[in-house]
Amino acid sequence: MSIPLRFVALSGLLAAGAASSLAARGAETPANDAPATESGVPVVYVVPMSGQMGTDIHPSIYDEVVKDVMEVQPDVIVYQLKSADIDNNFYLAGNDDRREFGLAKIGEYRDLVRTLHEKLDARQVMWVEDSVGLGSLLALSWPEMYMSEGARLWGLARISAMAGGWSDPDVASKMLNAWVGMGNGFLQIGGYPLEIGWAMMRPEYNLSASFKGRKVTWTNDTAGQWVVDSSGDNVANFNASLAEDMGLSQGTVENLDDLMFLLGFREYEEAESGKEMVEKYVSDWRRTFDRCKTWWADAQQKMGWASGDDAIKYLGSAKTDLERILRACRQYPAVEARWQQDYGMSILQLELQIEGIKDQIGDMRRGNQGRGRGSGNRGRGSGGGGRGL
Amino acid sequence: MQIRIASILMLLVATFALQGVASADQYELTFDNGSSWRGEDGDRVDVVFSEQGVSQSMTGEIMKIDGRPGFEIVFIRGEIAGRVATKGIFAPDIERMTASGASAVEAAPADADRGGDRGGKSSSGDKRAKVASEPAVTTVGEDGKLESSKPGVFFMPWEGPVGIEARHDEIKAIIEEADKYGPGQIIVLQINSPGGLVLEGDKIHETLKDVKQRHRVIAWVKEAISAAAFTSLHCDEIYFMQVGAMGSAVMYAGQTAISGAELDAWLEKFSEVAEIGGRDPIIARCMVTRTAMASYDKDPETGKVTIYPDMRGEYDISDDQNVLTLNVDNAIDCGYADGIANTTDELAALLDLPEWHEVNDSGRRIHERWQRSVKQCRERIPRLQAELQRNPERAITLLKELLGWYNRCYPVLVYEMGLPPDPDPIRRQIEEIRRQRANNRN
Repeated sequence: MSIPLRFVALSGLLAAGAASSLAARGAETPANDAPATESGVPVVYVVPMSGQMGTDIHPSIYDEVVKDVMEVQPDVIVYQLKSADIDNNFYLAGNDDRREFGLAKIGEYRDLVRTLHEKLDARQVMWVEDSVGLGSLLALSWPEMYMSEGARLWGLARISAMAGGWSDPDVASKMLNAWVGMGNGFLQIGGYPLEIGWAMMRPEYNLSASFKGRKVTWTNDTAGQWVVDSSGDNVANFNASLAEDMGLSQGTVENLDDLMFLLGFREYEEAESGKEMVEKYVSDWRRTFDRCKTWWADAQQKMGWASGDDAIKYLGSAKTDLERILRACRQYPAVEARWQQDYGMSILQLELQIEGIKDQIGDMRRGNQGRGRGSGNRGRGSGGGGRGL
Repeated sequence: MQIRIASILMLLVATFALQGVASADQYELTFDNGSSWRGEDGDRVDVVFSEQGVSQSMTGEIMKIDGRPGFEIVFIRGEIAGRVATKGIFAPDIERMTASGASAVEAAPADADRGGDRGGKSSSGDKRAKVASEPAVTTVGEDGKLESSKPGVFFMPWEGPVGIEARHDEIKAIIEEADKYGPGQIIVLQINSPGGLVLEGDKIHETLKDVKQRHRVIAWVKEAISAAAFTSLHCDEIYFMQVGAMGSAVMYAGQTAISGAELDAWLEKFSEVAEIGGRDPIIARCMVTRTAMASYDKDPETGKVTIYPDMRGEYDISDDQNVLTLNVDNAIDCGYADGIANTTDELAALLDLPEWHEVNDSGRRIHERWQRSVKQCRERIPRLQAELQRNPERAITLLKELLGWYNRCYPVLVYEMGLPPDPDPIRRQIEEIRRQRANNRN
């Protein structure tokens, strides 16, 4: 992987402008202890975390990014998070499409966070451009967090929603506290207190903070000096200014230059390879997924046409379409996840359907057209029972 | 029709034969660990294989090898459990197969070589590299026990639903491995499980209670929910990963939590387990039922923790509205966890080891072997069901394979896929098909 570097000097008016805007927001004076590289300029590696949790933001691409970061050896790694289940995101195309909500793969996200923490030893900074939903778990997994103007740190009610559907109060509490406990694991690796997690994940919990010098004490009541959440019906959410006021966010920034300035770097080089890798991955899997939708529609149509003299031809063509989808699912876990979510089919079920069509073609070639027809879908719902086995 | 089935069968047999042999009468099998065996019917072999996740061995004569590539069944006639019998072994379950007598007895030092610092990752073939990087040597002591020249641990990941992927059998297997080295070994279970079956918990309880008499057992918690929390609490020491969570051990059936005498007994058992692990039972009870409470005071000078079964303490652990799940902060502060380790090196330091060293890779292999079986079972059974519908003429073969899976991967079939616990109806079905076919022929 080549390492394109972009040199940015915060000089003259730019630096002055940034400094004044930061000062206006109450930011602290940048430190001057920036580490130096061979060129004397620190290198920042930006890792985009943009889009749907569980597909666009998926461990498979970050494994590659980690390798690249280890090669580049930057001074600072910035995780640029923009993942909101509602509003303002490119992949929602102007409306809140539930299919684009973050996937509930807590274990996967936890392993991703652990990998990034453990394998990379440069200074790591979380920059929240926007986060609504499970992305907020990632946001809170790093102790040094900055937010964009207008950014949200919302939506961890998703966690308690995952435990819904149990009527027995003890079982309901077991499920709820198990999920919330797992969710709080992210806050713990980020160094945030459990009280914040409880208030952000559980609607019935309040949140207030008391200040003693620079020390903030959080409690799940309304007795603190600053009441963040006094509602018994909603979880606590933070926007950029509240998060900064409460000390969750270290500062509010407009862009990377701003962020680097706050981190104490008046100039820096940006390694852009990570950005390129992630952007390419996202566009590749999404393009492939779109193709899968077309292949699926084609396959359905061809299977409908499969009768008479052309039956074998159309079935063969439908099989080819399904095999393309299968290959795509194997190549991109994101496609596999979305195929499962949107079409209710796993890789195994696709394989079974293809095998069913193969059998059907075989039967037709042998002149036994009745047997085996339609058997491809019978793999669905496996796991339920023995069906006379 | 019969002629057609016969010809199809012949074709199938021929296909299998072509795929399974290296030459006209010679087989070649490649095993998951990269080793391979080549031979023919009548060869005498030593075979080490896994059954239900437990390693077994036998010596015998190859009768035949059947099945499609990757799923061959090796039929060996030899002594097993004290009597001569023919045993069919799934090739994926075979760890090693060598011509009888040809494989030198695998001595302890060879095992030690394989161990390495990250045993599971080193290749057994790359001996030179291992010698350079890993000086630990295993020898046989005067008492017949193995001895490692370097202090280390027996490490095993324990992951997935309890009773299906995370089982008692694997815990027992790693204990047996540690036992070969005599008492005083360190067994580390890396726990990552959302909980599971109560029955499995009972078996684990008996085994861990017993093993603590002779070894030091460590729980390294990433996720220990419900039955996995129960398992962790048995251990002498509990270390959390920073992301760790442990608790929520409400027992329930269907949609309803247990109550009355059943709940009392479960509370009693959970308390006992906490005490076995040297922990206060008050906190453990909060993991079992919503209404149990716990809080504590902490002496600022000595750090001594006093735990109360109500909310009178300065620090809350659990109120009467919530089942308890502990995270790093509260687990450490109230003394339920012994430390935080995100990496093996950090864990080694907490265990007072000079460095992270796994005595051998048996725990990783035990874990991987069972996980592989589970994966294969999950992939194969739905296919088998589909094949049964598509090819009823192969029903006997397929049903026999299903019976084989009962032997190999029972928990997945029964607890996950919902097949009947007793496979007898399947045996009867095979007999019925045979009878029908015999009648048709007559």
